[in-house]
Amino acid sequence: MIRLVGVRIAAGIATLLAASIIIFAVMQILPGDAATALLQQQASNKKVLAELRHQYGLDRPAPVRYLKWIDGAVHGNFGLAPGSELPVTSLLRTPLKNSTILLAITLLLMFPFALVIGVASALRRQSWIDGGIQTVVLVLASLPSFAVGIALIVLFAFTWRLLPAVSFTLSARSLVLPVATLVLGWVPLTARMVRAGVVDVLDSDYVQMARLKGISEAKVIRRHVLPNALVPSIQAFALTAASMPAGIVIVEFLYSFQGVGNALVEAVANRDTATVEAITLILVVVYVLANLLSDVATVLLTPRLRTQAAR
Amino acid sequence: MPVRGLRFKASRLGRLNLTPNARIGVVLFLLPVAIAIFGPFFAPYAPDEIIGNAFAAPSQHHLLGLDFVGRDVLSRFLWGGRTAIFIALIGTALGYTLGVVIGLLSAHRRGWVDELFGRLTDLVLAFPALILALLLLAAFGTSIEVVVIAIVVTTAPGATRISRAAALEIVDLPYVEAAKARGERTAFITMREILPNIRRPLLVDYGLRLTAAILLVAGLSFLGLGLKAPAADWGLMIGENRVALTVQPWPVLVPTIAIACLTIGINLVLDGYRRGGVAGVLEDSAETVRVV
Repeated sequence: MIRLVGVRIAAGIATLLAASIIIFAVMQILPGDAATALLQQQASNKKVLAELRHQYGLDRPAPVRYLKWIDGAVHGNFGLAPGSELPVTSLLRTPLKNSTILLAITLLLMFPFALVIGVASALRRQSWIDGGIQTVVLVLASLPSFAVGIALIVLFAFTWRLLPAVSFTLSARSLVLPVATLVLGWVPLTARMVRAGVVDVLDSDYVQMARLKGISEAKVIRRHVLPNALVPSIQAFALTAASMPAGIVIVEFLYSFQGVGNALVEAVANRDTATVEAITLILVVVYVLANLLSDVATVLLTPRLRTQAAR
Repeated sequence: MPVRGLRFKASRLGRLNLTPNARIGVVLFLLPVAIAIFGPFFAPYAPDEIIGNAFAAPSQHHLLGLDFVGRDVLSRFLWGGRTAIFIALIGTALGYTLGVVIGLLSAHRRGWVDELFGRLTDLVLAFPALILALLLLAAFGTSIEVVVIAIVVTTAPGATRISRAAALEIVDLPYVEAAKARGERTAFITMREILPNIRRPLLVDYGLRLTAAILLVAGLSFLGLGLKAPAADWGLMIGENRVALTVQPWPVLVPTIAIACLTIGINLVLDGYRRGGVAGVLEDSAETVRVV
């Protein structure tokens, strides 16, 4: 089992390393670099340019720069943001904190909802309850999150005037709509996967066997269905959690929420290389880690995989 | 026997009875598509013509009012579907073709080819689609071409996986073996035996990727990083007019509703197909793509 988990973790680290190389390489392709971008407004002068290049370390070969960058990244240092003399890390501190709060609240709220909806829908399968839930869930899952957000703003901020439409400063009230948008957008995905997992278990031979033995349906569900539905549910949660960092980009932008998503959009618009590299790396790390957690949880919670690995 | 290639006959796909939900889906999907194709012919003004005050309320002459610089919202809406839909269509068509070619090649050759493309696929899938798109836009600058490339890059890995998995299920079946024994060429076997038999899961999967691409284009334009002003595009309209949602909601609401119809429509149809049991390897998958 330890070996199997070890292999997954090693694969995760390898993926991260490869992804970091891609992030770095893609940002090097751009014609010109941070120095030329910075000098575009001013009259460019070859000598000033060369000096600036040296200052940012841009005159060294790419592999050296990559190693320096990744070494800094591991220690939480992403270099200086062009335009200001401030380190990217200190500029990102507040956005990172804000986004973490937003994500944490969303995930905490999301899981019980998704679990209840998914399990209830699966247990009442083929009924009108299931049909209704499935249709609502499918519609919500198909909507872009900005559509959900705009609907919420129109209702809660403008029609009923209950909540602020813009979440520029962090407060309990300003968090409600962004969190609600994320929850409404992502619960359906998780609930669908949870439902599929529970349905699989309901159709399995051992559940049929338990029923044939004459065990009451309530007990079958409690003893056989729910425990076995745990693994697919955890996988569903991890998958959803993994797709959240990308989701917050749109939602943060919509509400002018001062988080990493908004910072990323701004950095892309300004072609602020150091910040783009830093945020994409952070988001990819979160993404890969969430997927890794799902893998490891599956191994740990599935007795079959545990014994297979032990052999 | 000549290679006649793929035939996506509508009758073959439409033979199964559509569920009520799927019927609604077809209507929802066709509505915005029709607006995108025929809308420009009915537009009362040019999409970039400034004809009045910013955020003017709807009136007799401007049924949906004016936008943030005083252009006719209705005209911009009627023009704005083309880019919103066709960029996604072009990008997914290219990306999907690329992905299917790689997937079938991997299933056919196996060995190191399979291994190499498998690793590459995993690597690209280590990036959330939107983040990868933003990375590319930051590197190459914001333009339509880069948006199309972003769609190709994010579509291809999924197409590779699904076509490889679907092809592996049938490459060892007797009718493929028989074709090999007859001495048919690989191209022939691929076009006549393999592709026709995996077309249904591929089509369902393509629908999912198309939704994802439509959302990606809309999302990027919404962020101001896709299509550039003064283009008329649904996503861009939502983004640039959202500050005045209270004063003039129509330039935000109408395109939002159109995009929602599009994606809900596609998903309702796909869900019908999946429940109808023609989706093959995708039958049990509950995966819905969410990129924005």
